Amino acid sequence: MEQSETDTQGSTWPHSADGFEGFYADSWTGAVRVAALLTQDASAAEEIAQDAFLSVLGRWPEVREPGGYLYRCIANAAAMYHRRAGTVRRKLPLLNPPAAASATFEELADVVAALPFRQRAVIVLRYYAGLTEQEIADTLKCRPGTVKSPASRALSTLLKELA
Amino acid sequence: MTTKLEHDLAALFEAQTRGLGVGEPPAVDDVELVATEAPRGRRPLLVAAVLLVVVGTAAVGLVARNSQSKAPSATTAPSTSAGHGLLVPVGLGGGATPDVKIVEAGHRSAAGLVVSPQGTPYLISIGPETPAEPDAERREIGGYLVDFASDDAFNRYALNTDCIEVGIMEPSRATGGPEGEIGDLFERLVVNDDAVTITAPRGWKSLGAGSPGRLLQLTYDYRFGDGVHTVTLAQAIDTPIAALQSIRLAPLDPARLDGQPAWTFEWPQTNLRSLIWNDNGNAVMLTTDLSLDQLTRHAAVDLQHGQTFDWDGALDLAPEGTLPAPVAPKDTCGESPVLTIE
Repeated sequence: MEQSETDTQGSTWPHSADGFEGFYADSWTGAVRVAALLTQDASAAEEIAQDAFLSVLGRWPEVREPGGYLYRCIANAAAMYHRRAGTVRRKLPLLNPPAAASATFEELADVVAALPFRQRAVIVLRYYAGLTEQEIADTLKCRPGTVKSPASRALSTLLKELA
Repeated sequence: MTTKLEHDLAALFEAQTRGLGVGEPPAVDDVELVATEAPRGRRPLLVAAVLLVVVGTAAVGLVARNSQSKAPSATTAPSTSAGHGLLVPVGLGGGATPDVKIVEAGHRSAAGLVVSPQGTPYLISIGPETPAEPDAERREIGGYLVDFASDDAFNRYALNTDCIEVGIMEPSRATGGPEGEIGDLFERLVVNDDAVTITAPRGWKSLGAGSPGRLLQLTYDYRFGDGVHTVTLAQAIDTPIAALQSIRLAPLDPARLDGQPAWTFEWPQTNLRSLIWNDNGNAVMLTTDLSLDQLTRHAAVDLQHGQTFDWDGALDLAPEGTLPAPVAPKDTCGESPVLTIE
């Protein structure tokens, strides 16, 4: 008898083919936003998200944690985009800064956009996507303990630049 | 201070993504067609895209295999008239029968060479996972946990992933430490299954990356001054110098050959020195007991793109070196790892 397991997101594995629909609809907006934050390019985000969903779909029957796999695909695609973009520096628009934000909010956006990709990826995945160290490590294919280093370097760069 | 920064970061990301105006996802119907079965006569965009992804992946594999199949074999030896432009020593005619040998490098590996702004060469290699060196220590560099070992010649860093091992060698004299040049390299390392990409930091220079192919070795006597010196000319067709296995023996030093960049190293515990350069896409290595000055001013200059030497005939008779047994990749990994340096 074939067994099914429950993954960390509460869905069962192996997945039914039609389960992809719900996952796709639920995850689309978040995927595009994470892609945008990683690339700092809103125009590339939807395309990266769509490619990531295609990768998930290609492995749908076998992938145990589609959410984690989706983030991994987005991170990989964003890294590739970052390499192709070379030295072109972009910053996501800041339309509605929160009222409580400090005067350096615009400057913070500048510094975040200039961070090396890996450092930016760690802080986006931690402070926007809310991933744990283990999940970030899975996404970026490194060990959990080694997530701390780029995070700490990123924060220290931000503090230094904003001082 | 950090807590406030963390709060600001979360708020910044929220504010930026709120302004994005993400549209609706492409129609789910199109996606469903892939998961089930597409009706005949209809080719949704996403179905076509999935096919492209699959075909694209296969194409990458083919490219990797083709790059290895470019290497000549004893039965399909390179012809000098085919445009490969192999070098031969001046004066070595068709009647000569120098020692010719074919040495084949290990499969399922690739290597690349980058040079830092300070001129330090870093050799990056990928291949099957190997046991950690006994005296290796675990270090955190550039966000990765790597095994570090060192000797008089090299510092070696090994990162093991699910599929492959990524190794970086730097001369022991490079003492930048984890926050130095080696840290810059690991910071820019991206591993995707068996595909490894390094974006060379600003100011660094890439000397290419690729898989090792067959090395054609020609050994001959070279008369210089009052003596006769044994010289070995090794050439690998369409191969970057990084793929030459010998450059892992000792650190490279920069040199010049006819105004062009070249590299040199001394073989450990011998009086031999090699000069390495790129000649029309081929990796060339000239090894003898001459000094660097004698190598660059005489032995290397006394080479020409051969029209007089019968490579085809010589290679037909040439013995092959022992081939290392290929290590079977894990089921989840590709057949040939790919190293890209950008």
